[in-house]
Amino acid sequence: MTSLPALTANKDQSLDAALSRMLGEYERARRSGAELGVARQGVVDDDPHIAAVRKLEAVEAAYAPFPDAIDPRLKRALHARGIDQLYTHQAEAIAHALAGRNVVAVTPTASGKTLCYNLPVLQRILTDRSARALYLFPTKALAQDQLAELHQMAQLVGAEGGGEVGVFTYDGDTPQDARRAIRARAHVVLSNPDMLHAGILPHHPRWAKLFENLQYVVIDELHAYRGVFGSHLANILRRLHRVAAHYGASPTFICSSATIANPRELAERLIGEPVELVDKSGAPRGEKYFIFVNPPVVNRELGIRRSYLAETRRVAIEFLKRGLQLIVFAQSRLSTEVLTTYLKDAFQGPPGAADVIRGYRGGYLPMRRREIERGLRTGEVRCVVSTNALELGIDIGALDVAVLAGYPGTIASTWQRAGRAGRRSGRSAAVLVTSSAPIDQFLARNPDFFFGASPEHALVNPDNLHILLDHVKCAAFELPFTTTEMFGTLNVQEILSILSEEGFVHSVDGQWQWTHESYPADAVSLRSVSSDNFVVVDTTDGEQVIGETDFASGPSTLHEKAIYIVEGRLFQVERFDFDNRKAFVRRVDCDYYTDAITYTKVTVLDTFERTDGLAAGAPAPPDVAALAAGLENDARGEVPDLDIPPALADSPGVSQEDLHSTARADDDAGVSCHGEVHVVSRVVGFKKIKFYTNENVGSGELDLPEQQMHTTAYWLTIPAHTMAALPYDTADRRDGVVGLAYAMHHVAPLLLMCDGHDLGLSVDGVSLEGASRMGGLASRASETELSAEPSIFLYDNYPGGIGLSEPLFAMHAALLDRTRELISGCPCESGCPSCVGPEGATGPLAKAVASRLLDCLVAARAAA
Amino acid sequence: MRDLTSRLREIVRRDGTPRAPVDPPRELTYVPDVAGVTDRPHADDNTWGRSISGDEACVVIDERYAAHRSHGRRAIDAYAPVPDAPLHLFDPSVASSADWARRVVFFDIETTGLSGGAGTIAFLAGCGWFDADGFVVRQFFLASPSGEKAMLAALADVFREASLLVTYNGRTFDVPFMETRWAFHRERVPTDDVPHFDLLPSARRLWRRREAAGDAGCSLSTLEGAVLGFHRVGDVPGFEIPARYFQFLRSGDRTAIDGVLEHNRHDIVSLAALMSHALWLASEGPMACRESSERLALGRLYERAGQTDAAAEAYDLAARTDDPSMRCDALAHLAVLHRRARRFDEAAVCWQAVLDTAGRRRGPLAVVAQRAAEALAIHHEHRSKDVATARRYAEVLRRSADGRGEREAVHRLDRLNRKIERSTGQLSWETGN
Repeated sequence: MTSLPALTANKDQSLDAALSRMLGEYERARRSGAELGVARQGVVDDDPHIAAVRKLEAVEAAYAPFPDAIDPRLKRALHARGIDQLYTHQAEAIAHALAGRNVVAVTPTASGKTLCYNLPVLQRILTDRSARALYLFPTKALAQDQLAELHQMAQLVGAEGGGEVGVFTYDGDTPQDARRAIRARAHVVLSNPDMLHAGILPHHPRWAKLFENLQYVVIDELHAYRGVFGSHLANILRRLHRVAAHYGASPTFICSSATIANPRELAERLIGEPVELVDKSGAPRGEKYFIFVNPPVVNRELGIRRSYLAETRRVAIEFLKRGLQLIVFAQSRLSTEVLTTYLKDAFQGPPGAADVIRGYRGGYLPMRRREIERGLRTGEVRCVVSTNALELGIDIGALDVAVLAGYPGTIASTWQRAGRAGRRSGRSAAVLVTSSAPIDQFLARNPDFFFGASPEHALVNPDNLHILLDHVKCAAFELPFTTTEMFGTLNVQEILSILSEEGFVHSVDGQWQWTHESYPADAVSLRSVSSDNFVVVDTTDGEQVIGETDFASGPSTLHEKAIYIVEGRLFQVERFDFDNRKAFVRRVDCDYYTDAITYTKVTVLDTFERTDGLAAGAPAPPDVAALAAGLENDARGEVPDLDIPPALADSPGVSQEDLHSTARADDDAGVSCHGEVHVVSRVVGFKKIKFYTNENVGSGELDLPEQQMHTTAYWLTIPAHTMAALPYDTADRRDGVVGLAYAMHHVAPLLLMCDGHDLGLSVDGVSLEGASRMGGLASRASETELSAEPSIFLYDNYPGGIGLSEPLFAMHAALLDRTRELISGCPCESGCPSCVGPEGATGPLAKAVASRLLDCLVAARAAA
Repeated sequence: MRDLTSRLREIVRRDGTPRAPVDPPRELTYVPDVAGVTDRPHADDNTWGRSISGDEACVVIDERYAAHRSHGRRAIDAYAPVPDAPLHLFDPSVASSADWARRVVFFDIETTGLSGGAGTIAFLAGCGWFDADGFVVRQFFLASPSGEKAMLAALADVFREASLLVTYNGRTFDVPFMETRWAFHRERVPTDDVPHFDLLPSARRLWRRREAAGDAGCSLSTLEGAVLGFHRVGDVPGFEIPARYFQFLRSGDRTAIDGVLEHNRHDIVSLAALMSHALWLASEGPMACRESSERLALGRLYERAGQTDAAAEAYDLAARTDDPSMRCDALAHLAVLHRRARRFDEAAVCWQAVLDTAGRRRGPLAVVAQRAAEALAIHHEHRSKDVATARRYAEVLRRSADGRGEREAVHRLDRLNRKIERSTGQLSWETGN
């Protein structure tokens, strides 16, 4: 235990010292490898400790003058803040916005994105006192953060004779008695999609002044709106367009986004209008090192590595003891707390000294959060360990080093977190410490995949029927639809007639009048899959609610005898009241946790497309088909491999009921499809797993109700003769297919921009353990028979689908290639958590069989 | 491809809030309390009334209540506004105009929901006013929601004529609700220009503590029975109203709506009658009251308006009740009045009466008893200079109070003890603590 040295005055030197120590190990290892003659093209050995080092060169600033139109009062206000010219990207974005063109600016951290929207908005207010703007932020905290900055600007402009500019946040925390004044006085309203959805749009007459004069809508952190959240936002913006049009307004949208592959496309899908793209940053950037550290293997047979949290601790200490300021990102709230404890333990400050090492995560009170953010800006806080809560643009100043404990799951998010370190001049560093999860190990072995690839696409599916229906209801409540009106570009008349059958609306005098007593926005939650949830009640000492769990994962985490963990404290579920959505728990002291065994059955309802290009079933009218599946046919990424042997081209249509005849898989390359499926899952039992050793120390059976959903899926069917040709017995073949599925399930989120939870996994006829959990340890097949022609399903884990299946289908070839690379590149002998799952759980030959299967499938594709 | 329609239907049924079941409309049997039901001929009733929107989307239904017709215990013309009625006692701001009584418009709406969001509308707006021949209720009804703009324009005309708008809970509901409708149609909001008197707060003051208040409290339909003696038969309960309107929209069946129209008319007539009754009580004074709770309430009205003599009389009369809590409240108010007028002895008599009535009771009475004990301790310490008696009351106070009250009582006791010591000129060890 040492005490923490003061912040260094010479950061570059300290950083160099820390880096050269880390890289010195790398050099030594490389040299010794070269002496032994095993070095290959920059690869030290099979399993280098330092997996990659990249130096990102410094970039000079590129400036542009203020556009001529800018009001002198505004220029003077900016001057007072030390701004006398703009970066080129700011000038470009501002020019678009002032000309009334929608724009999305892709802006790295600390590149002055707020000016891109604050400047045109203030400019417009100066020329037209009645002008109004609405800002949307993904979280309340970000809105608060921006409020301070915009408020200061508004005051400066006011002091320059610009008059009073009202700037207010309007969210769930706004006191009721302040709301009326805000509606009357705000030139700029800072809010979030949830508030717009449930508080502003349904009450638009009260906001008439805002909507009548709405000139700009600002959407900050656009990349945050992907998947379900983004699909909701797209529909909320369709509603916003309708309401604004009702009041005669047609606002211009200004968006800012972190680097993603498709910022313009995302913006256009969300807004529903053409958008200009500004993606060349003019902001300067200092030199930056990006390093991948892979914890060493401690047991090669079982593929067990040194704990990545311990490794993160070691790396962080290297920087801390050299007087640098850093941010450590952890993957969960729990690991955030663990790492905070580790680092606090390592540096014991003198008694009474301010806490220089802090944790930061959702669930902390706002006061504490503000205090930590302030401490980071002033340098009082030397190290913060955070969940993704600090990934978005909260102002914490420029730090020296970012350490990422585990791959965040997406390339975009990794760059975003790495960008939290970095000054405009001078050096900075980002270190990714990979965990043993398959994606992490894949990246450790293929760093170029990360550094070379474009970041992910952000996908949304605004036409998901479930989401769409909810918002058509809300829209009908806000303004009656006419019998010819579209919703965005969508014809929703059929939806309205069904809502009419159910009494929600009634067609009268050419309008669909809302005829229901409910307030439809209340029934729609934007953030979670279902607004229903389970509440966890601690009965140790009286009754106290200690947590909640979303509906889908309730049965697998809150079943009776399950161990429920909150901040390292263990509770055991004593009673699970499914009907009343409650779990009663009691504090326990034990050395194991539990992992549920879920049986999932997927039945194909409809095949939209298959690798032979023939969709099954009768073709539907194009608009209806697009509506039903959300197929805008905008699949991105690789083009699917369509080299199909002629034999398959005239294969018969697929029966919709019979799972096993889904595809007549007489193609050696396997048949991959995407379409609509029915998923039934049931938690059938659980295992007890010992902490640290991960030994299986017991199990139990459970009888819980089934959960069902209709969604979309991608699936791969392995031909019967390929299966039959495998030189292994039935049980090993099954293990191989399950191992392959396990690996594919981990690779797929890498290709899509999605969270592991967004994709469900099912192998027909096989129960999987912890399959729904990314990085889950086990996926052992139970003793059920595998069909002769097994199918691996990766389904959208949201009713109706969120648009992941079709792109996954399009990336089918890449999916198999990457999976093959993952498995063949893994140094373990017969399966580990980083490839096909741990040997003890998946079976001794799982890795061999899975590799063999992939070889067959890929070879057959190549031959064709 | 499965049929889209059936999929949609499935999702809507599964996800949707279950539709509130709509009961078949009950047969409405309106039994008048005294006189004939209505002066409007019902027989040839194929038309609603006049249409004002050209396409019969908004219709106007006029109903005339003849001056001699009764509503509750009195005839309609007894309820007509009187210019010198003491409205200022209830709401000085609206009574400032001398001609507030010229055209008082009583206003009540029926809506398709309570949320107040853009999707809820007032499908029925009822206005009532007195004229030379009695009382008129004019209802604007939306046979189709498309007639809303016409309704709003017609309502604006009525409001323009009005010298005062009277509602029941209109401050929080009816008026803001209608204001959002004008805003929805981007029309000027006419309610800004009319003084508005919401009767509900005054009604609460007068009748919240009446005997047998029960759970129904101060709803208009409760008070019209309890105070005016008017009883509805077969009235449509409020929660049924939106569903009835939706049913009418789908089926065109007017039987669902007739009861709603009737309900709204009752509300408006009772609103006029109840306001008149409140003003009548305030002008007649406590002798006209039927309950001491009303007398107590009048006392507070007069006191607020600075009419202390009238207030004292009302409190004095109110105190002559068997209800200990009412009696104590009245006496406490009276005591405060006396003290402010520097009639300290009378105040002390009142407080003593409070103490005698409240005795050792618990609950709210214990609080007023503490106030009495404190007031008496102060009175005897500073006014009558009877330190021993003051100490007796201070001890009563210390026994009954807790927390800060107890600490203050202890301080007071200490001080009184010191005074006694000083006056007896010797140290007294027993009373030092």
